[in-house]
Amino acid sequence: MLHPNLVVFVCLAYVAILFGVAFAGDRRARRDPAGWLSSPLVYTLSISIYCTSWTFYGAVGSAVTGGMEFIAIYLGPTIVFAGWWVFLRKLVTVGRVHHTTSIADLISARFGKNPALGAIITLMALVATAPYIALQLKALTASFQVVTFPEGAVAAAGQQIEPDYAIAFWLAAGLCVFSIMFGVRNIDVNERHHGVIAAIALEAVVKLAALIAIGLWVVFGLADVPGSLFADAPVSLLNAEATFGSRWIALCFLAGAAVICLPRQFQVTVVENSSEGQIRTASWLFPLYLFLICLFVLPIAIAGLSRLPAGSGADLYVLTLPLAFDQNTLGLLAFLGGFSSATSMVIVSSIALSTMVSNHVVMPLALRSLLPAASAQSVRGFILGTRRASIVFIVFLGFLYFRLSGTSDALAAIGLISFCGVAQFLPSLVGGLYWRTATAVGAIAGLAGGFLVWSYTLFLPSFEGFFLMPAAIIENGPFGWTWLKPYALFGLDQFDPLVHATLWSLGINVALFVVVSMLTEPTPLARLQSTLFIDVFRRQTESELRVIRRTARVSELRQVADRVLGPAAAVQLFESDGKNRTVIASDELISEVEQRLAANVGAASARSLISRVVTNETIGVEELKRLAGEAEQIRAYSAELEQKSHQMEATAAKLARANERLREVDIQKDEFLSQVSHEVRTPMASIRSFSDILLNNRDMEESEKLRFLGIIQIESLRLTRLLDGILDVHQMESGQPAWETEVFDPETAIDQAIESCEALARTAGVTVKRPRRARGAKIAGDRDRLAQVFINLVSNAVKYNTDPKPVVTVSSSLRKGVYEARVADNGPGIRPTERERIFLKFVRGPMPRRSGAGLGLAISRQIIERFGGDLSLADSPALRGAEFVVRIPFDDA
Amino acid sequence: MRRRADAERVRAAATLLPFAAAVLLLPPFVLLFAAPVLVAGIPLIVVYIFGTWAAIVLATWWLARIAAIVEHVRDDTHDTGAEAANRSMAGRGAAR
Repeated sequence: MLHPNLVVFVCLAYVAILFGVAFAGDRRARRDPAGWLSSPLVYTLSISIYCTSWTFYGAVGSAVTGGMEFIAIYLGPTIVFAGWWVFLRKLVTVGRVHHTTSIADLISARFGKNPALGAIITLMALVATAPYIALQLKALTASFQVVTFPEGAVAAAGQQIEPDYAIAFWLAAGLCVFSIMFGVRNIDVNERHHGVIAAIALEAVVKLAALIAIGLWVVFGLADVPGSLFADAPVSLLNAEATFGSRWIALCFLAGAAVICLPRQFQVTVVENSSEGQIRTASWLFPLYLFLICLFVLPIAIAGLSRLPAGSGADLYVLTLPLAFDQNTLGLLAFLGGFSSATSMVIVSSIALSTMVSNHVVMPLALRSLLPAASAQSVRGFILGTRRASIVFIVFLGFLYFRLSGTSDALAAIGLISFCGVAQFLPSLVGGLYWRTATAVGAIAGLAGGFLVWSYTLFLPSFEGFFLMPAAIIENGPFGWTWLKPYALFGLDQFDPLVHATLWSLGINVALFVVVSMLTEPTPLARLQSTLFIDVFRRQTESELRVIRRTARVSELRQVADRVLGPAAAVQLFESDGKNRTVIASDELISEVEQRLAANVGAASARSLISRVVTNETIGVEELKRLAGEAEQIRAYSAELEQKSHQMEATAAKLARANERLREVDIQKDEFLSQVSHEVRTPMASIRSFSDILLNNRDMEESEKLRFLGIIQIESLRLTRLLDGILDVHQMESGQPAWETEVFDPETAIDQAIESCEALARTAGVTVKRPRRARGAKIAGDRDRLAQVFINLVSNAVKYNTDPKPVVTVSSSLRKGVYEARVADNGPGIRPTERERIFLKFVRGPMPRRSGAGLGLAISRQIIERFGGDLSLADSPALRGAEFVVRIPFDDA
Repeated sequence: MRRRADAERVRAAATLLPFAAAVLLLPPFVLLFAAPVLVAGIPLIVVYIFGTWAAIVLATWWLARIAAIVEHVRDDTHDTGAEAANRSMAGRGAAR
């Protein structure tokens, strides 16, 4: 047992340190706003108020009863923070840019600064949070009573002790004093609570250090061999199959939702945020904090189960385990850790909720009746007074819950029930940041529906009959209607109550939100706000200001600013850049004043304050459309750019191919020219030399002369043929060859060609076969040209055939209105790379027995095309060698 | 160009991370490790959950570090709406 005086003294000393830190933090922040108090580390530590006493004591208790299930509560937030880029970053930026004061403010501002929405969310948050505060008070009281119990902590934990409400009362009072002193110094919520955050950060370090110290002591001090600890673990603790069911998924989801939607989490994560750097660091540092918090929970739970007498409350193992082994310092540290986690939760929750209550419940009511007549000083005083009163109200609402629930276990489960309650904000929050046409009516319907179902299926039944809902209803449903049983709505009874309530409440919430939003139209202001919120990462433009057009007198506007912001701020707003010289305020000035007011009293109240002095207000539909269009335009523009660049790439590739082709043609031309020169030169040379001989030797024998003249004639014929070929190509290309049109049987052209080639074939020893003939085909065109094609094909087949038994086969057939002739050989064939090239001009086969000009196939193809057909190389000839196919369509008639 | 491609990749990785984490930590995948096997005296499922958790923290840390560098580069070259918004925020803060 620890002496009560000692515990009280340590507590008071610790509280004094906290006050000192908060005080120093506030002073330091005033001198240097960007100092270490705005550092990502302090920011992250403040987020760790997620770990309340429900974590510090409750995690071990939960591990004893539910095994590994407790980890899900910390995995949900881990996933949300690891995914900061997806959602959290947008949420935090919206909060920062629009000077959001609370989650109620953000949602109401998004849906057209709707006051009703803000009020509903505030009430829901109040209902869900008050029992949670009660739970913290209970933990504080119980832990104090256990450590100071005369018969020892273990004995105390084993029996039911009547809670000492006096302790709880004084603790609540102390927490109120702290929250009021450091949480409500100024009404501008956006002027961050540096003092409170500094104290919270210190408490975060203390609770982590305490849990890790106890964990290390258990693993290395208590167990003989560190690893042997798990040998004592009961089977139930690690019953993995049962743990990872629907409840595990629901817990992960609810915890992930809660780490955004709980008012206190929203306060530290969004409202207190001052830069993107903070959230970037928190994205990994906060999950790391949770990891360290959970690391020793299982060892402590196992040690408690195996070393403490059965029946001693598992919820207090963290405290009783060190005390049972006379580790009083460690016990005291554990007590301080629990104290830290409970107090920090109560402080931040009460501050966050007091802002919500004063901005969304009290202010709208006061604006109707009280405020219009009040003086400048009294308005600010009224708001501060409301905040302070709200803090006292909230903390003592928690105390009242604690007093009423007494020793019942109803409070123990409140953590998860509260999570499920605040998760109702999630559809409106996420929908608001991504869905343009979501409406305020839809959000109200969803929230109200979800809240009612949550109350009916989870919250009210959790009191086990002593509050509002009698036990009979929980057991049998109202009026005995079993299909309305709270834990098995419409007969859905195979789920755990938490999963059941989550499914029904969020399902109905989302359904109402979506359906009602689709049935209703958003107001113009809601449209504007949706654009500002959803496109928060878009570059801010002037057109935003031009959407709302308002008229107000500067003097009246200044009066409002004076009363709410205080004279100093008003002077700063109005005296700069000669704004006070005009009588009518500009739209910019009105917007600026409204923005400053919103940072103090929330967007909805700021709007109703401003609309008192504004005489006429119009929201330009055209400007609104343009604003909404801007983001769309930018997206369309970038898509267009991308498409253009693809087109450019394609064109560039085409050009490159054309260029390549040109080079190739150029090389072929050069080759051809040198070939032609060579071809022309050889006959020319012999013509010249023989004519020289004839001229110089007049007395030559007649027979010799004749021989020489014969050679000259042959050579000039060769020259003529060459020039004819070149001419032919030219004519075919320019499309005006001498072309006689007659109707004829193409077989006659083949016969003519084979006849012409007979001599050539015989000298080369090639057999020409003619196996199949087509009958009755009639085509129109120039018969000699077609014969020229076949002569070319057959002579090529003869010339390029290197086979020892060379054979050329010419066959023809009729097929579906197409006349088809094939010229095949058993020569070496044509290499795949050459298949298309051989049809080009000036290209010759690789192994010419006799060199030609390389024009034959090119001319032939052009001729066949003139007939309307095509000339190609057959894909896979049955035999070795090449097979050319001529196809010409013909008229059956 | 190279930096822009890098930024693109970091953004894609940062978007995928939470979904990957959810798949790893939720059934049915997590049930693969629910077998009653001991690793150095510690049940496999405990090792798996805490190991995956640590890996997620590491991956987030690494991505946040790269994101900070990429952001820094982007600030120097061209800025986005978010940065402009932040700057106008800072401006407003200073005016107060």
